[in-house]
Amino acid sequence: MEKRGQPLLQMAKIEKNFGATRALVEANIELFPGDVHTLLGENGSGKSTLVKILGGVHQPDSGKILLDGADLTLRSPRGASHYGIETVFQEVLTASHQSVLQNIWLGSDGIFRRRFKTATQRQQATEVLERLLGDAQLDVPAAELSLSARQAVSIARSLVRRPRVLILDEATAALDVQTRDRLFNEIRRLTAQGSAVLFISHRMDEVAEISDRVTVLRSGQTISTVTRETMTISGLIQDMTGSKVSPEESFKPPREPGKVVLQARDIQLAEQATKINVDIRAGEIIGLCGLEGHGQDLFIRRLSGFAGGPGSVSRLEVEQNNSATPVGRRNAAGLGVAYLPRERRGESLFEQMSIQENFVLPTMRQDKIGPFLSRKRMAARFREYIQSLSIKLGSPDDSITTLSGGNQQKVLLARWLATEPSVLLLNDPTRGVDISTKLEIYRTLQDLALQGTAIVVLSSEVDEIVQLTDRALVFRDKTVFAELAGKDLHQQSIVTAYFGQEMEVQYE
Amino acid sequence: MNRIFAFLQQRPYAFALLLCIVLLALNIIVSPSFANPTRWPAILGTFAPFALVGFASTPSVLSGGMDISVGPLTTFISVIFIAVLMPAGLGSWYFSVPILLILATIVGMINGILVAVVRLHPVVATVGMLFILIGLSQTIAPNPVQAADRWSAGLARTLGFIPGALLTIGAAALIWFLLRRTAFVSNLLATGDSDQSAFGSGVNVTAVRILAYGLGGLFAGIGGIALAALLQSSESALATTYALLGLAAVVLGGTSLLGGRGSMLGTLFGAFAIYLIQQLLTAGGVQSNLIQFAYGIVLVVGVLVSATLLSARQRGKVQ
Amino acid sequence: MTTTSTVVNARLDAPVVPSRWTKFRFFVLRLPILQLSVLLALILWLVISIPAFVNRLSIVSVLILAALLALAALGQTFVVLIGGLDLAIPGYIIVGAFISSNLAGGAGWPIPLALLMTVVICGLVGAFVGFVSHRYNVQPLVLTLGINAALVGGTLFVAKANFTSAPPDALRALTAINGTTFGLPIPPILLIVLAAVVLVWLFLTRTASGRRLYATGTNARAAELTRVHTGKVWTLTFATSGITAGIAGMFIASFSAGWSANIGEPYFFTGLAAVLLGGTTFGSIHGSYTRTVLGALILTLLSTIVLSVGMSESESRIIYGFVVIAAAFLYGRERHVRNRF
Repeated sequence: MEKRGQPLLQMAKIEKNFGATRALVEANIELFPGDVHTLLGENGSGKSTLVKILGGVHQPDSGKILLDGADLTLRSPRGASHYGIETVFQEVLTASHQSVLQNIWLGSDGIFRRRFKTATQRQQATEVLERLLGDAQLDVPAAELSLSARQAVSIARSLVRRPRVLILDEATAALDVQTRDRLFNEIRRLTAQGSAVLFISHRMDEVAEISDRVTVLRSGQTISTVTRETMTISGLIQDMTGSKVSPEESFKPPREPGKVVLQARDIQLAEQATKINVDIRAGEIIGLCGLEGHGQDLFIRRLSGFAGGPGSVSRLEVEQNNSATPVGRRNAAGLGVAYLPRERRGESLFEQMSIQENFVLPTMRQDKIGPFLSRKRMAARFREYIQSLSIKLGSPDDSITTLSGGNQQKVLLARWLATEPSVLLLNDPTRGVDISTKLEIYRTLQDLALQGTAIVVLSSEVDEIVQLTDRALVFRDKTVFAELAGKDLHQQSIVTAYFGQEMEVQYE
Repeated sequence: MNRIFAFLQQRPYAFALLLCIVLLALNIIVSPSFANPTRWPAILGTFAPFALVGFASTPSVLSGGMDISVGPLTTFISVIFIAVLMPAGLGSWYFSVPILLILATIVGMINGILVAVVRLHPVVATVGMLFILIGLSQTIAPNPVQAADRWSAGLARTLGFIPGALLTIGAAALIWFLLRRTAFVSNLLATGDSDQSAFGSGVNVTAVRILAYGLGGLFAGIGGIALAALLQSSESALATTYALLGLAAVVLGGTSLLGGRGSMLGTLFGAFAIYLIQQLLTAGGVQSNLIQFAYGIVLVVGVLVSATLLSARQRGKVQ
Repeated sequence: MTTTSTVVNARLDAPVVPSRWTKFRFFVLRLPILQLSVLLALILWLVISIPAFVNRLSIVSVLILAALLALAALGQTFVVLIGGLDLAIPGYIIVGAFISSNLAGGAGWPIPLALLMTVVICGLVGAFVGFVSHRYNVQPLVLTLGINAALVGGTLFVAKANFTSAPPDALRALTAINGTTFGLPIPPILLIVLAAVVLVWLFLTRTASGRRLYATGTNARAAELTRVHTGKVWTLTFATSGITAGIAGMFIASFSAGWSANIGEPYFFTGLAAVLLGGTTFGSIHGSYTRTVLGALILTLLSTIVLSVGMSESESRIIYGFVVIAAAFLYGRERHVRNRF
């Protein structure tokens, strides 16, 4: 590996623990001036922790950060900013009631002192925003912008400060394609001026397009660093997963889809979007995918009854003469429609409660003896699922936070399997889950489908859709852009559909 | 109609302003002398403590927290002024005013430290402070003490030809106006709006919060002087009455209790509306208990109206 | 270049030893050991410093005072558990006090009717608060502030400031210091509160509704997505708060043989202090009524001691303030911004 002078920024042997969880064991990375350095890793590999340490949010337990060869202690994002290290975090950070202008200059000023005159602020903000968005509306509240535009605002916030080191933590996930291309131009302009960019994305096409150097992180450790000339996508994926790429195990035993159990009619996800009609049959697994924010998330929530809007979702019950009942927030459970939300922490977990209490919530009625709950029955029911899903836990009464992400997800899956659903809706069920747990979940879902459960899986991973589902609905611009099944369902076809077929995507 | 709602949604204080106009008109109809300029200084004098307790509650709410102890702080300051400083011979304005304002600011900042550094729930921390302040006020002056030095009486009436209340309310308003010209208010609003965003962008969230509570304390200190000026005696029993009045004014003025959204102007209108309700009902010969009843109902209705018709969030739900 | 994944995982799975402080906090959060030891210390102090205190009448009167405080704080405990705050407690208390004194006592209404009326009025008002604050996403704090003023003002208006009546003897017997229950020398109010402790404990730990209440408090969004009717939980919780505070008001008036305009206020602030001191924190599973009762006992004993050493009631308030902040320091610390990314 050829070295180009002194690194601008160096992180050496960084270690970080959160309570009982080890986030980083030994992370090393070197950023050179003029380089776009990509950090790759699966969910939970420690990328975000590393970024937060560099951004000043967290302090490392041990290890060194060197800027221009000198030791650096970063106590807060403000401190990092002082040294020219600017971070765009994964979550879109805007103050929604503040104007775009205020958002762009947020944090640049002191507590009282303004750094620039308003005129200067306006002029610089306009310049940067025009380069990113094409136009600059400085006086509207951030809440009125689209997600993509808000992310552009928070990127602009870093750019107006003229960073020496710019960190983009999955900042492109929320951007539309056009804005992303403009951002890439900005990145090139920055590196041409001698700044370094630390880029994080889970989209291989972006990584391939922009990276000068790639470091792979796995389980909190730096696994490898390769340069543009020597990197291959398959090599990177191998380093990320620690095994040969995607085991070719088939998760699609032949099976016959049964009767229609859930019917979506004339669903419209946005004004003027094409209406969606889908029949979901017993015993089939349907995949929902698309680039972030193209409607698949809203669609699965419509199916679950938790989101409303134009069109109807009905549950057809074979036993009752195919009677159609509209699915709503309150009756979904009774109709056998179970929904596992996307955000584990925000939408599913009760972090203060025990593992068993987390499991039992929607099915407590089964444990009632008189007015009281029988702990024995509860424990017995849970034991079944501990075994069938092979959940690894100390005691069911331990706090749910003692479990790894994968096991937490299994408990949540058990929570909904216990309702014995006819339709199981899963919103990105394997996010932040390690490979072996992932395979176990796939097997469980296949078994369920064989027994006649209709399963809808939204996934942000193309491989998952290919390996797991019978047919996939690819969303684009708030509607179903393509429906792929059988031989047509493979990575290439899905990714091509992601970009609306206009784009030639290279994917090895 | 929709345009009216849109207008009100953009200016959260408009509802309180509307309420003020209507109530002012009603007041003048019920007691025409209300419009007589010679009465204004006295009216403003009784209004000043209301307004200042409201002002004092505003910064902490804007920062995304809450300070329940500003009412008792106001009373505490007036008790210190009349029952401690005056008997000690420090009652003259050039001694007492700085001492009182510094003391009030420090108490506010202690709240801020409890919330921002020790990270207590704002309600819990300030309820604790409320107990301490009420206890201290009652210990210092178990019975009302008459003021020995009456220079401050002018603050509740006129100083020369200026209504004294304009000085107290004006001082607070001026401080806020000057702060708006600095980056502080932007930082404050951003912190209350989303402390994550503010922290992530490099705002010193902890310092902003401590200063917000300190500023509330400062305003409560001015309020304490205005209260002492009005009463010319130390009424420690008023503490609980004032305890939550400020919050009512803040909310009626269209400031969101979730932080990040609202204005001092709104609080002023909110406080004035509450004051006018009381005046109106008193002038109308309504029994004082019914005044309290009406005040409660207005507050409930006001909160509901601003949460339903005037909330921008409601529009977001449609999508 | 590639290390084997097993080695990495082994290192990742190695447990991190929790610090002593973490262990201590965990212990304190699980069981009210701290409250119990403080309570014991206070009892010892009282017994040693004033041996004369150990007689039936003094003990019973302290217990009654604590019981009334605990009853007034019952609903607040639930409300704090779901992450709200009920400022209307003084209003409910005054409604109960008025009904028991002026209607049951003065106008001679039968006691069951008076009880029913208290329950209906306070329950409906509470339900309104809970429903509205959940439905329109209004902070219950402001709403209950207004409701409180309306209740206090309205009741005083209806009562025409007539404070001459007292609750009927039958009610007063329930809270009399020398009262007996079925021949036992224990005032009924103590047994009522004891029964409430047991019932609430069963409710919170052994019923599905109790689980739903905790779930709503800890993560309302997840609860809604787990098919819990959080709106129903809010409505019923605030209704309960109203009902129990109203009933507490009836007893408070009975105990003090009459009522006044600000009979409820001290019970609100001190009641909240009891809840917080017990270790119940906003929106969490760390909290129970047992803890509130312990908090109420501690505060009552504290004020007894403070008064006995010759300090005034107002000085005991100062101590309350420090105690609340100290308790919150142990229990209710919020997460730092950096940990919410």
